[in-house]
Amino acid sequence: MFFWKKSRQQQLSAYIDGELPPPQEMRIGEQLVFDDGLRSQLAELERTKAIISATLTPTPAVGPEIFVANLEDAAPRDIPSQKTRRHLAPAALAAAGILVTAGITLASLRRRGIV
Amino acid sequence: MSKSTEPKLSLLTDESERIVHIIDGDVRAFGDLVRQYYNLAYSLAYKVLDDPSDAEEITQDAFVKIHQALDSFRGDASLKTWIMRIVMRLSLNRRRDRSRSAWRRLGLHRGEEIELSAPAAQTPEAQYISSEMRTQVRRLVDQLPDSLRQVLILNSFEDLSYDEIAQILDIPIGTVSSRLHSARKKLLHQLKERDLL
Repeated sequence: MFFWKKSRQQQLSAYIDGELPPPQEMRIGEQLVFDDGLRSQLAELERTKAIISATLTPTPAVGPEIFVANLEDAAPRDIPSQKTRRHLAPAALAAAGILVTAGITLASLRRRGIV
Repeated sequence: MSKSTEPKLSLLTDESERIVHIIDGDVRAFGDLVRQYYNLAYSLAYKVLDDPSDAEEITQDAFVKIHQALDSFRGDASLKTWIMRIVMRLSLNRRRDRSRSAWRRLGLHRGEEIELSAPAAQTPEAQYISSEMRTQVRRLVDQLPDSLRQVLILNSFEDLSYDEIAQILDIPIGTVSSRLHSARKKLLHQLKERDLL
């Protein structure tokens, strides 16, 4: 358990996140009863955490509904499923191949004056 | 008091079924997934970028990427962790691109930022501090080294355990704890220096 080796301050940091294993958590809890210095360190850490949390609070998102509606409209064209895409590439290549062959044949027939 | 990260089997089964449906082209199933994780993804992007429109754009890009990459999802981590990893990566890339822009380097974006950050002050959590203090603290957070800032941002999600943060960033759990402690120590010191604590 890595928490054993860490400084008391680091343990306090994990303590306010509820991330200490129960024995260490209990030990810190006991120390807090008698140690004013530790209690004041804990209070500072908790206040720092609250300030950071308030600072990082996001503005509300526009929300997923418009995005989902657009996805549902666009899905068959723009976001094909993996399966569809797997079949799409060979089909497109085959179509391109047929067109190129037809073009070459037509050009050669024209050159010979057949068409 | 340790946060539980054990996935429930039924949840995993539902998740796997949903992923199969999405890979098979079920747009509704994908819509449900977007609805479930959109706000979480947006919050993460916002916390990294501090800009609502950039965050919204990155969130939508992330879901397009998620759709394309779902068949490579192996289930080693939870879907939530996997999604957050993608959002984090895209947000960091955007942040990097932004820092390279001449507009930002010249500091011309500053007025824009203050205006954009104002609505955050109206949410109940943000009312805990003034908008002026928020701007100052945000600047301090932005000045932290990347490795410390990332852990701090992820820790600000109440329901994310150290274990999940470790999975998202692909670092050991002990590193999460030590980086978080370093980040808090630095910020605590700077907040005291500025009489903000």
